[in-house]
Amino acid sequence: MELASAILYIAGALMLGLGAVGAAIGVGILGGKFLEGAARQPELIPMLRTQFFIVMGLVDAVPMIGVGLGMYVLFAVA
Amino acid sequence: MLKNSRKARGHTQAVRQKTLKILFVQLVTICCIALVLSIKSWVIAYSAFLGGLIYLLPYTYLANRILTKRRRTDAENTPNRALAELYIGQIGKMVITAMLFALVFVLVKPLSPFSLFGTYIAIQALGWWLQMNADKRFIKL
Repeated sequence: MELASAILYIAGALMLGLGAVGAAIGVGILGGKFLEGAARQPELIPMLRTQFFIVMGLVDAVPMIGVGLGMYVLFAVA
Repeated sequence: MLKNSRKARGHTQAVRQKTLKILFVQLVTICCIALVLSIKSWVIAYSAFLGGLIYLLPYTYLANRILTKRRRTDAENTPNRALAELYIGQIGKMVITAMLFALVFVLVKPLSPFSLFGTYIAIQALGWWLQMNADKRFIKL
């Protein structure tokens, strides 16, 4: 029984951790491109900000589902 | 420069209006899903409603923070400051989402996880679809 709950905790941690890695890579690339664009044309910053907001919603969707599943495993199942 | 600034501000307001419309459509969809599921079971219905709200509340916070109505100063429009603001908003969204998930799983019992995650994923997919179809924005990118 202890081994089963330990494995569940590891599963939850893996879900949260791998989701965080994916989100970090995606948002990091997005931020780098934002800085490149903003440095080239500072007058376009408000426009780039809105595009960043839209693409950010796409990038962090799947990691957030992973966070939810991880929380479920940690709080409700284990 | 002033003309460009006004144009950019107009663009932000237009995106804000579209985002508010998308949020409203998502809220109505959540209510409809919960109403339909309430015929089957009360637990499934409120689980679905909570799943939708867990997506909608952090997204509304982020949208309100980034697509703000107030006029930004020149200091706030430097690339570093703008990026820091975006990252702070995103971190806030992630923290709120994780807290809401934890609160729901700890406080709400009984709960139907399939209904909760199903609605959460469905509302996200609806958001993507609406974003992509709002004036074919991604084709313009």
